[in-house]
Amino acid sequence: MNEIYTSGVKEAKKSIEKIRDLIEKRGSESLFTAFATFPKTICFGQQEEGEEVVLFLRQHFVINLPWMILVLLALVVQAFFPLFPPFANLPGNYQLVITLMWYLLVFGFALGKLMGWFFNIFILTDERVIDVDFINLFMRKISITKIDDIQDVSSTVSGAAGTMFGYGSIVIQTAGEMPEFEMNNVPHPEEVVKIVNQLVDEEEQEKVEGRTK
Amino acid sequence: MIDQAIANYLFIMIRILVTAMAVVYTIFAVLMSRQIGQMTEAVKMKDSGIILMLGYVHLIFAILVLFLALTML
Repeated sequence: MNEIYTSGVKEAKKSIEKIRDLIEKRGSESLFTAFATFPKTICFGQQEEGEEVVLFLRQHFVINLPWMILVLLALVVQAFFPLFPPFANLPGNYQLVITLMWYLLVFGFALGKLMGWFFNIFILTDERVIDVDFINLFMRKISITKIDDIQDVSSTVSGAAGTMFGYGSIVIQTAGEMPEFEMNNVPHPEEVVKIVNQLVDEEEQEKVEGRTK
Repeated sequence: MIDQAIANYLFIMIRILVTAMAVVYTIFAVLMSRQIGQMTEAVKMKDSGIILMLGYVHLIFAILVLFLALTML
């Protein structure tokens, strides 16, 4: 029994090593990273033993610029509050509380937007595809499918910003319960398609050689 | 006399509105920090503690504003 288990782990390690040879290590593991292959510091709740994260994806950081500009404008607008008579005529304590309330709302808006970007994650492991959609503050969706179930993968780069900063959409069609996995505004979409195809090929090879987990 | 009464009425209205808003916002901030906690549990990353800390700072700020609204207005 132990021998069977050890041989399974060895096969899994062999498979990971093969994937490592095929896919080069890219991207950093910093807080604001949007593309990283083989990140050592990223793991997820449903991760199985021996399962390794091959690719970690988020939307390109540049898509955060519109709300960041809005936040800066909101902070600048506050400086003009005393010019408005209804605010200027209020007593000092009212002005202080209203000003702090404004800063709190701006902080909350920025944090909500940052969370929307930070927790909208796409993870590719050597076995599965995990799509974490942070739809809004009170709704999140986690979809998982096996690499085996992937049927087709395509990428689209559109628009001036997408072309300039090199981000686009990825669509993965599967035979699983979730027919389509879509990730928008991800960096290096062609590279992602290549990695997915390499993982699918490796999985098929594993099946042929009879070393599926 | 009438102007003073209207001003007092307006101040009471502002006080009620700002306090009610601060109460609702504090509940929202609690939910937000809970959501961040659950998300960082679901996907563990090296620096996810920073966003968790931002969530707590936001919650403390909301409680502070509520406290000021209750005491200063």
